[in-house]
Formats: sequence, structure tokens, C-alpha cells
Amino acid sequence: MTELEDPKVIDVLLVEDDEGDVLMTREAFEYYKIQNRLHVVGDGEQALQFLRRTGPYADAPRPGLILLDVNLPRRSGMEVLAELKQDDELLMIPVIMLTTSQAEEDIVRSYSLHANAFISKPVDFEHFIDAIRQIDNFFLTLVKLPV
Amino acid sequence: MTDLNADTRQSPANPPPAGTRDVRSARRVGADRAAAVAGSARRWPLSRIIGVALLVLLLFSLAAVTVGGWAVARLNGAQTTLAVVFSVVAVGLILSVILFAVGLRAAAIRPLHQLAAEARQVAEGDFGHEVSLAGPREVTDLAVDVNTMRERILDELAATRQANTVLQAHAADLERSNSELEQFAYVASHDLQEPLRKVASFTQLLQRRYAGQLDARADQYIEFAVDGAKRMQALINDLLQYSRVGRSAREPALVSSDAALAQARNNLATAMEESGATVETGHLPLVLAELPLLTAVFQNLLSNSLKFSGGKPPRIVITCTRDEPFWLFSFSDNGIGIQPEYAERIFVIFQRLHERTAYPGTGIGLAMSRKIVEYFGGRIWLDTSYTEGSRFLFTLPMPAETMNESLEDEAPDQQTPDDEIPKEADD
Repeated sequence: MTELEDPKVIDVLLVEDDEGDVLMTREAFEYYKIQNRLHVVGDGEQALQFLRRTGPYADAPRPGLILLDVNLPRRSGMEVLAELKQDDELLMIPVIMLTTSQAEEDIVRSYSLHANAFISKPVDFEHFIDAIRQIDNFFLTLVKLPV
Repeated sequence: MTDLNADTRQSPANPPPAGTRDVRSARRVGADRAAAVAGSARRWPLSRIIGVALLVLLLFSLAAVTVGGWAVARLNGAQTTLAVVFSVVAVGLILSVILFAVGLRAAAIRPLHQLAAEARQVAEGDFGHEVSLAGPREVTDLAVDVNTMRERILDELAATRQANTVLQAHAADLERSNSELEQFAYVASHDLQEPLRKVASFTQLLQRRYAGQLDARADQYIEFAVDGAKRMQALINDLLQYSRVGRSAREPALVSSDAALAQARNNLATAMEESGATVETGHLPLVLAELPLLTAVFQNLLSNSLKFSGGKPPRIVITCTRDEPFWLFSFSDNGIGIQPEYAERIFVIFQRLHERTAYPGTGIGLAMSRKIVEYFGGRIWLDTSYTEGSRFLFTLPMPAETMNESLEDEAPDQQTPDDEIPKEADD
């Protein structure tokens, strides 16, 4: 049986350029009163700065979970993932890829870049918050994250 | 003496140029020629005739010389000049005969031989080789005719080749157009999903956040908006799936239709249990197909039978019989049935026979099943003679390896209510 620890507040980094999806994610986290802090960056470059604490993100916390959208401007989500997993410090942070379709998921899967999980951005909000809740349950509550 | 049947073929050392060789007709010509040659083997070739004639003439001349000599001996003295003249004439005769033979050979036989050799070369496929004109008129006439034939063959070949090129160009065009269309359907469906997701999600968010603060009318508006968005998503999803049939790079393989049916039943397990459905089926064969697609066909048919059961517990019967080179599957239920005049319409994408409120669904199930079955090389149709419900018949290719095997049971004998099927884990 897993021991239930005092819920630690974990920082979650959302790498997503679509404002609507960002808003939805915030709403979903709020809806479930998820105790974790959501940080948002709009592209891969900023994500890496955030994670390496460079540039404008010098004081950024180290997130315990990364939600990474596949479709990003300039550098794609998969490029970012590849770079993350090549960085000794960053490769331990679990990454969940957000894909828009089953087909896309298949393509991403074929890269086998060691993402921890894939979530298809669901068709509507009801399903979306369900997905977020499951992320919360699994990654943020049940599992001990290497933070 | 040269034998006209001698083998002077030029094949290995001097092959005809690749572009003009028509292997099939060369072989056929060779076979016909061999038959003709065998038939005329008993006939004497020209050289032999002339040789024999020469021999006879020589013998006669010798005889004449002998008689002349004897006459000289008899007539001695006075008749000597006559005898000498006679002898000279005889020798001259012999010489001229020999010259005649040699001349004939050079003038007629060799050109004939030459013509024969060149004609054979053309027959073996070297249509570009022009036969040389030499020898007596009949031989040159023949050579001219051979050349004419050769030209005709070249023209026909060129025409065929051009027709082929045009056909291939058309086929390539069609393939490209098809592929573009599929690409378009795929991309359109894929890219349409994102804005739709926004519409559906935020309308729902609106509903959630402002539920208490809006009046009933507003709630109704939102309800319709969300419902519309969800239906559009279902349509797009189905369209996406439909357009993806046939896009996988997989080769058809040996698939157990038993396994496909079992998977389909498993996917619909809850619905089947709720409706109290029973499935009667014999042992189903191996076919050339792809498992996920075949599963989808069974699942579509099953799901339809469950949906259009008309309130009573669905009873589904699946059988399979031989119809070389296909297996013929029969899928029958005891539901509300389909009127014969709609037998083709039901297979059209998004065509539905009922109001949306009466029965749910986008109307893609049968269109999808048809596309899949046809992709495998089979056909699917409605059996309009069956009136106790609906019966669908479809064919799937029989794998060559199993053509001599038999189905254990071809008649339905097992009746397994669905809750007794052990639930397998999802793949």
C-alpha cells in the first residue's frame, strides 16, 4: 500500500502556446482545487530557460511535473523533450505530452523519446478536467516525485 | 552441300537490341517455326535436288563420253575429228552443267539462305534489323514482304507502347488525386478538431461557471450549442477514421475472424449485457485482412443490431460458407430490419434512415464497413430476401494456404449469451 504523505505543494510547468488551452488547464486545476502551482510558458525556448533558471526565470522553482504540448511555435514539443532528456539535471522530471489526436500520439510515440505519458487533449472540457484530475491523482498525489 | 536446315541462329553472341525484343512473340514464332520445320523435314531441300540432278547429268555425260570413246575406237581414223569434237562437246556439256549448278547456287540458293537467316533473326525479336535485298526477283520480292511485315510489327509495337504510357499516366494521375483527397480529408478533420474543441469546452465552462446566474432560456441555448459541438466532433472523428482506412502501410495478413469477432463482442460487452443479446456462431475461418479493421466491421454490425433491435433482446446469427476464392459471411439479426429500397443508401457515408432523436449515431458504421471490406478485396451487401430482421452478407479473401482446409462446423450450433464470454484485457 502506498503511504499517503502530507500533500506537498508541487510546481507544475505547463508549456502551451494556445491561450484557450491554458485557460482551460487553469480552470481544471482550480475546479479540483488542486493544491499545486501552475506555471505557464508559451514556447520551448522559454521552457528551457525556466528549467535552467536563466534569463527572466532566474528565480523559477524547479517543477515536479511538466505538461508539454506537442504543437509549439518554433521548436516543437518533441525537440524540447529531446533536449530535456539529454540534460542530466532535467531528465528526471516527469513529462506528460499533450497531443491533439490519436494519430498524433502514434507519431510522437514512435519517437520514443522517453516521455512519461501521453494525454490526448480531449474533445471537451468535461473530459479535459477528468484527465487533469487523473494527472493530479497519479503524478501529484500518489507518486513520489523526485523533487 | 549446304543443308538449309543447318542451325545458323545468332542468338547468344548477337542479341537483338533490348527495345525491339518482344520475348513472347519470339518464343511463339520459334515454336511455330519448329513445328513447320518438323513437318517439312521430309521434303528435299533445293540443294539436294540440284545435287541429285547434277549427279544424274554427270552420269549421263560419262555414259556419253564412254559411248563417244567407244565410237571413236570403232570408227578409228576418219571419224577421229568427229570423235574429238564429240568428246569436246561432252566435256563442255559437263563443264557447263557444273557452272550452271555453281551459278544457280550463288544466284539463288545463297540469297535464299541469307534471307532465311535474316528472317529468322527478325522472328527472334530483332524487329529493327532490315532484311537485305539480294538474289533473283522472287527472293527479293520475298525479302521486301518480310521487311513490310517487320515495319508493321514495329508500328504496332510503338502504338501499344504509347497506349501503355498514356494509361500509366492516367493511373498515376488517379492515384495522386486519390491520395490528395485522402490527405485533404485527414488534414481537414484533424485541423477542424481544435476550434471545435474550443467551442465545446468553453460553452461547457460557461454552463458550469454561470449555471445559477443564467435563466432557463440561456441554459437551453447553451445546451443546444454544446450538443451541436459534440455532434460535430463525432462526425469529424468518424470522418477521420473513415479516411484512415487504407492509409496504413500494413500488408494484409492471416487474421482469425473468430478473434476479430471476440474482440468486437468484448468492446461492446456492456451494451450486449444490458440488452440481453445472444450471438450464435460456428467456427469462423482465417482470412487475409487486418485485425483492427476486421474487428471494426464486426463491431459496426453488432452495434447496429443492438441499436435497431426494436426493444426485444437481440438475437444474432453469424455463419460462414465457402465461396472460392472467398469466405462468405452471413450476419443476421432479429431487429427492425431494413426496407429493400434502402439497400444501397445505408452504405452511403452519413446516410441515416431515422430521425436523430429516434436513434443516435452519425451513420458511418456501414459506410466504414463497406470501405474496409472492399479494401480487403471483398464485397458487402444487404440480403433483401431476409425478412425476420436484417441480414448482411460479406466476402473476405480466402488465404491460399487454407484453401483445402475445412471449417469444423459450418452451421451455427453454439449459443453463448454474452455475459459468459470471459472478458479479455484491452489490447
